[in-house]
Amino acid sequence: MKRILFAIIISASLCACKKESSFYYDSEFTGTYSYNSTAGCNYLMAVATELLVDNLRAMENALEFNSFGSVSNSRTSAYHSNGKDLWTPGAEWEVTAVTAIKGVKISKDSADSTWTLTRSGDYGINGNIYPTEYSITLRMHKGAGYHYDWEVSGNGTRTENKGYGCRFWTDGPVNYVVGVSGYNWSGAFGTIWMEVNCYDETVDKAFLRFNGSTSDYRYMRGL
Amino acid sequence: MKKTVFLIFFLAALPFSVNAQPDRNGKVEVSANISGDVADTMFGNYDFYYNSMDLASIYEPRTRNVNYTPVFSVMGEYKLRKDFSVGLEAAWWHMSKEYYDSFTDDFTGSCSRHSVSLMPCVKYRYLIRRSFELHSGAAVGAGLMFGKDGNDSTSEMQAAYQFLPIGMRIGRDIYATLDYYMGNVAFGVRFGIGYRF
Repeated sequence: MKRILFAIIISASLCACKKESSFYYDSEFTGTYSYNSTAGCNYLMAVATELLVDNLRAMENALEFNSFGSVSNSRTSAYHSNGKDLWTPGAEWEVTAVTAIKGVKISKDSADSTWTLTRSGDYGINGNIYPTEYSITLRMHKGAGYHYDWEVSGNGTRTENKGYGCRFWTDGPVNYVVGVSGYNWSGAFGTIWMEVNCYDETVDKAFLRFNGSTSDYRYMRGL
Repeated sequence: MKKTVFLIFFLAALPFSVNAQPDRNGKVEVSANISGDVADTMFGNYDFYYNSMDLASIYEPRTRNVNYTPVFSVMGEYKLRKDFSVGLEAAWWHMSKEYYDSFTDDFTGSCSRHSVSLMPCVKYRYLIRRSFELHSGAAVGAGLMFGKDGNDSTSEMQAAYQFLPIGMRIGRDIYATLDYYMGNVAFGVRFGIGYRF
């Protein structure tokens, strides 16, 4: 009987503790593990779903312009080409509009459906605009709806204030797959790494691994 | 609250207590002052934190347990005229804070700084009564902040300035002052006790 009472008391105590803890959230406190882990993840997520996706859009828009046949040496409203069809090796296009991707150079080196995109200039993540350089390779797949699917691989650097900066790169290609709606790339596979530096000293290394969609991921830091 | 009540009673009682004092009409005055709020703008706001998605805001350590002493100062004045004086003010305050890792919340270090300022000052009295006066003034000089930030010793020197838009003095040879002070050393109400030689 005593043992049963003891077990009941212990269980009740544990339930009470659990209930109480559910009233508290890490976000209510400054400097908690939860907050900055989320912020670190969000940063890398922005690289994956904003910076890289901006380039997918730049690529697809270029292909659309290309399909219009307006690839002579003329300067279009959004792109400047070297006159070569975007599917032809040696084609070099440059984005001349839209602040976020202005200056992106698209070049085609081989006959397959692969392009290299490079850019060196300011890029804003959540309103914080800092010098960002990257070189990525995009390989087109069939896709669905309004977009193609893409294999993305490459690397880049970003220089921020207070001595901070980062290097990001893909560990093998990251696949962006058009979602059910056909309007965006909500499907994703692959891993993006990031190394954070402060005055040339490494302060963190993290990765963001997509397991099928941009909402199904794993973030790890302190590696 | 207790301090405020005490201050009000003290200031209210002072004119009555000093009426019995002889009026020596001395030209030199020395006062000790205390200001409630440190204006930590002279050397930048070290505790500024913003919820932003840049690497510094994510990785910079969190600051907690920030403690400031009041600003203590000593001021000597010499009356050039009945309504105008020049002087020198020396001020000191101390600040300490602790750093915590932004991810693990572990204590990572602390910071302790002293600030010393030396400012030549002027004061103009535009209402002079037997035991009461209203005045304004200004002080400009240099400030030195030194201390330890983590394992690093720090030392920084910059201009220091204070404005006194309005202040009052109650008493004669022994007097109390209540000033509104603004600048990059102290900000807000300053209370002082002085003696006229």
